[in-house]
Amino acid sequence: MTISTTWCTSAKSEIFSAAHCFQGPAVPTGSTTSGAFTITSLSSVSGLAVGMSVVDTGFGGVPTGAVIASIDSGSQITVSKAATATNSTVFSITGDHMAMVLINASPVGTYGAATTNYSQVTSNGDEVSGTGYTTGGIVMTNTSPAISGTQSYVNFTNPSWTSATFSTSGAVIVNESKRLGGTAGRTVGTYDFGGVQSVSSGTFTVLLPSAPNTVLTIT
Amino acid sequence: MATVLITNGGPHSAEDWAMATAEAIFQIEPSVNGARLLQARRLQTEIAELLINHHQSIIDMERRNLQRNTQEDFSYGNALAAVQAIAHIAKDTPWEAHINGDPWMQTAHHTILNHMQSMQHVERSWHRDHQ
Repeated sequence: MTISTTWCTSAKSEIFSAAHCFQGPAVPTGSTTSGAFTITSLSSVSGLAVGMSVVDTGFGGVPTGAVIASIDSGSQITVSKAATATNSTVFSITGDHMAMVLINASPVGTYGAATTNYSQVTSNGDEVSGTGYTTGGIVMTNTSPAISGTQSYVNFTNPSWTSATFSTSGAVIVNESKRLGGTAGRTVGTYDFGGVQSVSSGTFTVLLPSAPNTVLTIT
Repeated sequence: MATVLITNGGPHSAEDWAMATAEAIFQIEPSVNGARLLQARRLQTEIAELLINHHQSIIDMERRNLQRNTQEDFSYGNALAAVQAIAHIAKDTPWEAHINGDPWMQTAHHTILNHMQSMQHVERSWHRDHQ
């Protein structure tokens, strides 16, 4: 079967439903009050969007799974879960978790614009297995959307597998976050590696096309 | 088509990264041929050779950080210096104006920074694997 390098058509549609957040990470400082939903005295709200995940890196005062419910001012946000402690700390605020899943050397399925969900990879038994590879792939760090001329694009850090022994022929980018209809595993893009690529007790890195020539570009 | 970088038996070397970066920021179209192809390949090789030292310094920095549990980081300035050095060696070539233009400079800076961050990540990952 075949793999092509392309946006998934379903992901293009889902963009209009606010079903993907590609924002890169932000790490502002701020304060929580036990029992309150607000985070105050934020050093910055730049790059923050409603729905982004909020993690308290210091004291764990913000419960797991909290997301931004509203941006109230230049120094305050409201989150979806009340704080369990009063503290001033550093927050890690991130967009959706995008994972790169590797396809094995001889896939049964076809992966390209029509691919919609990670479940297609698993049901076909097409995911790589081997030393240094964990089922579900590697979560990449988003690079916030940017503009070049009349194009807008998003990209990610290059995923690497170390101490790795496996063979692969392509990859699928999967949004692990549940947004649209509570469905996780929606696919965003697919990548062809131009043939079977093998690594032995070494390092396998996918060099994503450089901005502004990324696959995920809106012209 | 996405490019992959594969090194068997260990992390990628500075040379591996340098060639990958040079191919990403100075791409030679398949339609280029003859003397111009030779010139283009020569410049691409010069860019790669220039980047070896820059990339080796990043790998060495990250290994020092991991050994000493420090957080030394000069990636941003290092990437900018690399872009400026490439612009310098492109002088008197057919690509001088292109490489000295803002769009190329910005794309090259972004790509070099991206690769440097990946180098740091690979070094950390190998360190974690062998702890």
